[in-house]
Amino acid sequence: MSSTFGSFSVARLGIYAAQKGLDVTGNNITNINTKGYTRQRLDQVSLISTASDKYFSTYKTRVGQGVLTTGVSQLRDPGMDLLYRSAQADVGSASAKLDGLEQIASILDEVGKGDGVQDDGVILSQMNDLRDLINQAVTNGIDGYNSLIRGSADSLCILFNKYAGKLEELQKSYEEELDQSVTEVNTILKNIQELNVSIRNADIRGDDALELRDQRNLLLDELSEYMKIDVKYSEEDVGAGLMVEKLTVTLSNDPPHNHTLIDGEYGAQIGTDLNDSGYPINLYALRDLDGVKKDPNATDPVELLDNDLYGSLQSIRELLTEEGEFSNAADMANDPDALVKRGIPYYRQALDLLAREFATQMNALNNVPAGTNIPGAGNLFSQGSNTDDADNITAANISVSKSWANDTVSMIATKDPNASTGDNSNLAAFLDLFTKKHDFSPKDLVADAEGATYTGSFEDMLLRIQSTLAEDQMTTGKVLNNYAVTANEVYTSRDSISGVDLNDEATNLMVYQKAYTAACRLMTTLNDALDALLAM
Amino acid sequence: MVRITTNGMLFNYRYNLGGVTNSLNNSITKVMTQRNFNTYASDPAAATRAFRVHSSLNAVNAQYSNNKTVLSKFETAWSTIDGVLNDLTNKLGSVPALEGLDGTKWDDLDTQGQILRAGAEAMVQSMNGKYDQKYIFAGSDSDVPPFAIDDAGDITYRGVKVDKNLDDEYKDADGNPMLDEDGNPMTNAQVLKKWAEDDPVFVDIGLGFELDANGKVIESTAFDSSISGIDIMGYGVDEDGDPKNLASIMLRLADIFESYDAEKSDPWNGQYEEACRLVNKFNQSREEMIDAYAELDAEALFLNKNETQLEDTFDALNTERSSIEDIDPADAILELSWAQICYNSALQVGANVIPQSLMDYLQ
Repeated sequence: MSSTFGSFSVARLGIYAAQKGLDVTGNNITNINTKGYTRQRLDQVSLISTASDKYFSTYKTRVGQGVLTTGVSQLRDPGMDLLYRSAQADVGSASAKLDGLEQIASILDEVGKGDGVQDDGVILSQMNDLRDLINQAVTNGIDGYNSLIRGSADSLCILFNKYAGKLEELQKSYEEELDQSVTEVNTILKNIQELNVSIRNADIRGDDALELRDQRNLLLDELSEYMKIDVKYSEEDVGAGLMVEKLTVTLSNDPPHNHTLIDGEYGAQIGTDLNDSGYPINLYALRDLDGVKKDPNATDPVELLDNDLYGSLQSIRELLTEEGEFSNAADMANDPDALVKRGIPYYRQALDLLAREFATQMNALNNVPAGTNIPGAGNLFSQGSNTDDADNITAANISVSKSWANDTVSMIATKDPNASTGDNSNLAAFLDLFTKKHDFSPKDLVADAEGATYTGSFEDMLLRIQSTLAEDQMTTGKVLNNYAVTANEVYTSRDSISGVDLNDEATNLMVYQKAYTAACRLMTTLNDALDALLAM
Repeated sequence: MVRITTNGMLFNYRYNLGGVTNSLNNSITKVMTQRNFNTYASDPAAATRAFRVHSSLNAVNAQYSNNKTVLSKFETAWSTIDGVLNDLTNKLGSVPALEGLDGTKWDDLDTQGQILRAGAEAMVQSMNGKYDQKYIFAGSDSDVPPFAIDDAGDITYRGVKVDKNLDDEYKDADGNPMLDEDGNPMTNAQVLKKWAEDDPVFVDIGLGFELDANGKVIESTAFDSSISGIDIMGYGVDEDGDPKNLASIMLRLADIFESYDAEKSDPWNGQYEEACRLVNKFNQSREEMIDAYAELDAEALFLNKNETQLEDTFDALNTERSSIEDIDPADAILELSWAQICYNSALQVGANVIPQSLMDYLQ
């Protein structure tokens, strides 16, 4: 038998639940644009006052005593999170790589660039100019053409220097970007660690901490773009049988190393060494917020290997370190694909190799054995404008030699001191240099390089550098597109579960509003009924 | 997926709108730059081919200019020899020679002799003609005048007498001998033969221009622009010991005429037969010079044809370049119109369709 005023509490509970429902719906609606917000639902259970008595009478009817709100829960699917983070790592990796390649292309790509009349490239056009001037000198003799040829050669050297300089700047700016990324990752890790502590405390208190969990998920999403991670939730016993949730984040790409980034309230940090040409990423030991190590015997730091990371951080590293054909045996032991991965160092060295081979061939034609009397013989290209030394020429330092600049050396028409005055056999050899095929061997630049030799003319080599870059760009672009589409699909799927939909919330508004009205109506009905009783 | 949230819909809309905008941007860029591709990555194969075509175009330009230069040189050579054959050998050669032999005019032999001598000198001067700072008939030694009459009155070509001391060892200006392929010093005769037949100056007029493994130009891939004066005028002596060089013959005849002394018992000094023989040889030599001159003509004709050929090659390359690089305006504008339609439709969708939700209908 229910008490006289017991029914009022049923109505009151009904009003309370409807009001709570409206609150939750209002929270959802106002948070529709909050990044990472998971929609919330009011949990209600029906209230029963007693379970069973020993002396149960069959004449008694038991009715529930209303509704109780037991809490608010989030609608989120952890499986979708997993898929999304995996897709994000792919997108991060391809996107960072494509960005880098596009930056390199902005320096090296010559399509559409030229003197405006003919879009025939920049370095390519200058080489053609040099070749054509030499061709005319073959027909008309070297007098009068030597200074024109020297001018053209000077422009070519300046272009080489410019490209090399820009690539070096690009390398530096990517070093800074790597540094920046590492700092950002560290900030994220620290924030996750702090959130873990807060959530743990909230769990112990009995608070749901839904918003904190949302923030943590958001940070995990951000982290997954930088590196591929595994997220595990486990239960931790904090004493007296109370279990709270513990979050563990590990690097996903490296069995059996199991590098842990976050373990409950312990977090790690990463670091990089910009002075080391391999730009290694180091993982420091797990520490709590006060800096005390979780395991005093843990190695600190651990250097992560090339295949341990996958994501935008690794892509930036690869841009900074991959040498393609210039890799040596040690590089290949680390990564069997080293010969086909090409980053900024590859392009710098390829350009250097071209400049070196060009200068070597040209100088060889202009030098005669000691004792032969040919006026004007000597090095045409050197490693600086104040010297004639032609050792270790690179694209950054190739220059018209000092002697050529001050006319002590000129392009020689013949190597035979007894030849007649119109003999142009050496000039013919110079002309032939531009059409004949040379061996570009990576070992000429880097003594222990493992890559294959490329045989082709100077123009072929230049085009090869550009087309390798272009094909890499094209492929990466397509791959990125695929990954992006997948990531978008996963995002939309995830959002379909955990996102706020205005139509849904509008319906809920109506429902709770009606429930509220109904509960109020119940209240007034009960009131009237009681009035009728009391009026007797 | 059963449930699409408002944000989910907007997220996808934004991504797809980005794609449509990108497409529109590409079409606009194509029309503005008139190029089929604006980066290497958008079409690597076409870009590589286009650059190679550009390189060939530049090379053909240089070859065309070379062709013109060489053609002009040959044309100048041809007109010089034309002058030599028509004026000099006639008025200053055949005429006085024949008059000299005419028995009725033997008192005038000195004059004839002088005319002959002057004629020979004029011929040597003509053959020392220049084209653009270089001596035309000097073979490969184009900075030095090829012909001269030395103090002994002999014609020399590049310092070597063309019909005397032929078996002596050749010594150049510094006194060094010239060695043949076996390393033996060459005689004057061998050197002259080499200068007449094997003294090339190769130029690139678009025939391929390649060097062999020893660094020598492959003859079939280049054009030999050197013209050897002695090949045209003649050199050496024949079986009778008479000079073959036209000017040499004239000088020898002049010597004989001038030595005629009517007061002597043998006025001709026994050289009358030689004089008659020389007159015949003169005509023979003149015939050979005409042959050489016709050869020059043939080379000039070849160069003319080559010029046309180079023009055709240039046009063909340019057409190819255009087909790779340039857009077809009609296609490009059609593409642009379509991209604009797609873009406008996407904007319509965004403006009209997406923002509706139940909220708008609640009272």
